[in-house]
Amino acid sequence: MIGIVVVSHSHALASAAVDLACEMVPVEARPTVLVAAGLDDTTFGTDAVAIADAITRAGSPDGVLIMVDLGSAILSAEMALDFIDPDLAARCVISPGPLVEGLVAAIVTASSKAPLAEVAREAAQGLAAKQEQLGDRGDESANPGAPGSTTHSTVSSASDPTSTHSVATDSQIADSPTGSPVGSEPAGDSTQPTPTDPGSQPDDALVFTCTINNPHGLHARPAAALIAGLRGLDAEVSVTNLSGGRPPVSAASLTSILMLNFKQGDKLQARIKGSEAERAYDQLTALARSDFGEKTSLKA
Amino acid sequence: MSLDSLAVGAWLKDFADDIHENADYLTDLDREIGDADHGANMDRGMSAVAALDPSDFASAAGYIKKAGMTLVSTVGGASGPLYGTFFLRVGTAWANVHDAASLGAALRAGLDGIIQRGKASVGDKTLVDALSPALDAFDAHAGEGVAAALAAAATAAAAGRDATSALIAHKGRASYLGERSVGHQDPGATSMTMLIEAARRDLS
Repeated sequence: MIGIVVVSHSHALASAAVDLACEMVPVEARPTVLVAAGLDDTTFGTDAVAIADAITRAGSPDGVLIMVDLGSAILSAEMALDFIDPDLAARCVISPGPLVEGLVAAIVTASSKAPLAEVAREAAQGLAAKQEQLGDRGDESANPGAPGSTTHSTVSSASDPTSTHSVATDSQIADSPTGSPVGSEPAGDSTQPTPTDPGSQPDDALVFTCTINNPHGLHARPAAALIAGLRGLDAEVSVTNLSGGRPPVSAASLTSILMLNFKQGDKLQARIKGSEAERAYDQLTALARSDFGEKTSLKA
Repeated sequence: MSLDSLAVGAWLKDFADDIHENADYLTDLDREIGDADHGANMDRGMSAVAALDPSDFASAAGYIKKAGMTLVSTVGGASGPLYGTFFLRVGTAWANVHDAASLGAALRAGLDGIIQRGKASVGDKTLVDALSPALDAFDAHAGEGVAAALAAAATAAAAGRDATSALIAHKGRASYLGERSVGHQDPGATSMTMLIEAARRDLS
């Protein structure tokens, strides 16, 4: 597992960012995350020597991702790479990602034992989910009820025509889970997963479908639980929001899952391939039943 | 000409004194276009350097490099890695310093380090705008000896510093201001000019 070093002008800022991000991952699965921030607890500043020391202590054969805030944090982190063992320096990446969002993505992704390049990619894309969300909300709040908001939502669905996947098939599947199988169940139990006949698929993927019950949707922590639940399985899982218009994404990518912007009531569909596809399916079933670790108190 | 560790110690302590006396001025310059910490940061760093005893070091080169590492760990802002890299590179080249030309080469190694670290060019409204013309002037007068070369360098550094007022910042926090940075003298070029002027006083 890679190590992570957080470089900031402020020790308080870096420590709080680490605390926040670590909430997403159970303690036993967390990567080593070290802070090199501030000249002391209260003086703002960065120190290349302290950063070099932290990188060395966090160092692993899998490499180190370095999250930085701004200005001298970047210069000092670059200088720190000059101070450390060149072999380790060659396995370090300074992330251009945003400190908080990037760190969340990095810790979640690293905990799945993803390689450095993949963790770095997730961290660098850390802003994408927020941009996606605010792209909608920002427009709406700026022009409440104005044509602008309508235009925007039209654009966002039109620009993502799910053309990479068979839309027709997805729609058919979308109909089935909320239809007859759970029809007699209370609405609150709609997380009841619904197996779909794999034979009807264009490939031999297992298909899992559930409804998101979480009041705040599939936000970072439940999304992290989804990734963690599939960790280590030999299964390739792609996820779609059947209630949205975006193409499927990898279930290993926090940023990508967050960009699907699952809200309460949205339908999640996962397609699962690989030698452990059935175990992944069972994991998803359990995850959905627990509302991805945040079991919501709906009517029984 | 003496360029041993005691002479270098006099140079760096003179610079530290100058920074200390002008810390508020440097911070005020930085308040206009940056984050108002250049004077305090450099004062903290150079006070730590001034606390080093040059006679503790076997060579001037070792002392200069230690000064660089001290700045890296105590300045806190971008000046830490920039001035730190400058002194680390100058220190590494100092073993070859024996005349004006080799002193110029050592200082230029420091400039190259700053440019490499900060990715700044002449005209970006940074300390490079004082140091680069200073070393060009130094080289042009190196044949006349260290004193003449350092005198020319100090004059050119001051001219370069003054010229930063008209420039648009392209690096650091000041770059967020864009054209609004025009009309303000760059604090880094100001402290760098103090370093060159101290060298003229103490290394000639």
